[in-house]
Amino acid sequence: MNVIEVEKLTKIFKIPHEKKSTLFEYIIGFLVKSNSYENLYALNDVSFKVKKGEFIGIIGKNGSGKTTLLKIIAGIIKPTSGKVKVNGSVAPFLSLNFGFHGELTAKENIYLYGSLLGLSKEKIKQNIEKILSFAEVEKFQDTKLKNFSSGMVARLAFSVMIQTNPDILLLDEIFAVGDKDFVPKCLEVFKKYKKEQKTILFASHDLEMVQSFCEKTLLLENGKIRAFGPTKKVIDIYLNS
Amino acid sequence: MMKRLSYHLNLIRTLSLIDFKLKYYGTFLGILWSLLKPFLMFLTLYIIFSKILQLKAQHYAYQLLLGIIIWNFFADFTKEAMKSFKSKYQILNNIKVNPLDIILVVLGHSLLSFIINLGIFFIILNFELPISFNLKYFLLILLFLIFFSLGVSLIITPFYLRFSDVEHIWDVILQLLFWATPITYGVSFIPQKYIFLHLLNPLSITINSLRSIIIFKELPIVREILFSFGLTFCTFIVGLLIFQKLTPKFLEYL
Repeated sequence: MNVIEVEKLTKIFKIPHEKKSTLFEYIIGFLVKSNSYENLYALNDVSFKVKKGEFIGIIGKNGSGKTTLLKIIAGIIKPTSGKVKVNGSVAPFLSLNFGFHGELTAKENIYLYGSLLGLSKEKIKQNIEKILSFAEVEKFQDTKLKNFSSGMVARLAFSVMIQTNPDILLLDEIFAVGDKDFVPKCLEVFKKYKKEQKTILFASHDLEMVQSFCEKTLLLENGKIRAFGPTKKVIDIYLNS
Repeated sequence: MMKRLSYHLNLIRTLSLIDFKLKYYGTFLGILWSLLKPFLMFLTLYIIFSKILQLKAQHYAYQLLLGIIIWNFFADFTKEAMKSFKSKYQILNNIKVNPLDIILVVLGHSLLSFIINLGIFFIILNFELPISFNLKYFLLILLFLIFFSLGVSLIITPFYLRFSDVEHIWDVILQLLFWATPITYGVSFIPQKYIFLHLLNPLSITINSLRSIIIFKELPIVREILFSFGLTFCTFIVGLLIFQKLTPKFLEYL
């Protein structure tokens, strides 16, 4: 069964030659006919399918379209053309610097982030101990988040996210934070997800990590699919290019 | 269907309360500011119009205070809604959120301040006049006010995303609207020649009708209510259409 079907996906960002953010600049530009822009193909005719239970790595240089692809699958941005079909609930984990607010306590942030991910107030209330203990921040539940280390924030975010029990998990470069407790925590969860036949899309520059738990990998180059297949083979293509 | 609705309601409620808290966070007087702001504005205008310009009107202080409270809801809500996408950029960029929910979050915490202010107004009013009024009309007019303010926010927000100078343009329009709306004066001061300005301004009708109901214990003029309904309805529908059409496109400019 395919859980994700991506068909002829194209995303064009219009990059103006001169950035015009005010109405005045725009009108002047209109009068002297300089409102020109260039089309940047962040994704160009991308098609692929992902089966239930697959862990897919997404690799490629900076600007190759990895993040754009995940954002479109998550429904955060709309494609210029093409279709994405997703069967199941999706949890995006695209950066470690999202909805959290530094002036709020850990507990308040759990409610904030949880409600954004679609968890009901009751469900958060029931699971708040579990969330705090999994993130190993029980002692700091009433501490403001601005006093947390980046590793603690990452663990807390991850801990809230797994409460949504998603069918599909989208991960973008989440191990960049370099917290020694965070990585094993995630791997533990991924192992469990593997057993439960959940699907993960994992975009990363860390080829070792991709190799260790993705059976298939997608290589993007300038918004196009360069290769898609068994991880080892795709990584070889990437390294030799 | 019910599940989706409860997701939206839960999201709007949680974020509204958090925003309300954050708004006055770190200030010495905290939440008191949401009360102090309109009352300080009231004091200033009261001294100017009642003491210096010697404006004579029955229950002028109450009329003025009620006008200011209604105005502040409209002005604060539209201004904050306009800026909400920029302040919630990190959320919008990482999690799938319906943009309309973000506007409704701002509506939520603006309404909270508004209700608190109205409550205080009734407490003060209670010292001099009985609080008994036509609740049905009162709620109906408040509903129009909410939908009109929402409609205006839905129109200006996408343009602000694309053109940051909309912020300054809106400031000027608000300033104009403040003096064109009978806040510091009553509708009876408007010359017959310009009465159409009153009929075309749902805020003016809202303030006039609520003054009639709450302070003068009279029923509002039905013709005005119908005008207000028509304008509110059009503003809201136009706002919704503009918002749904432009916001997804303009969000990429963030």
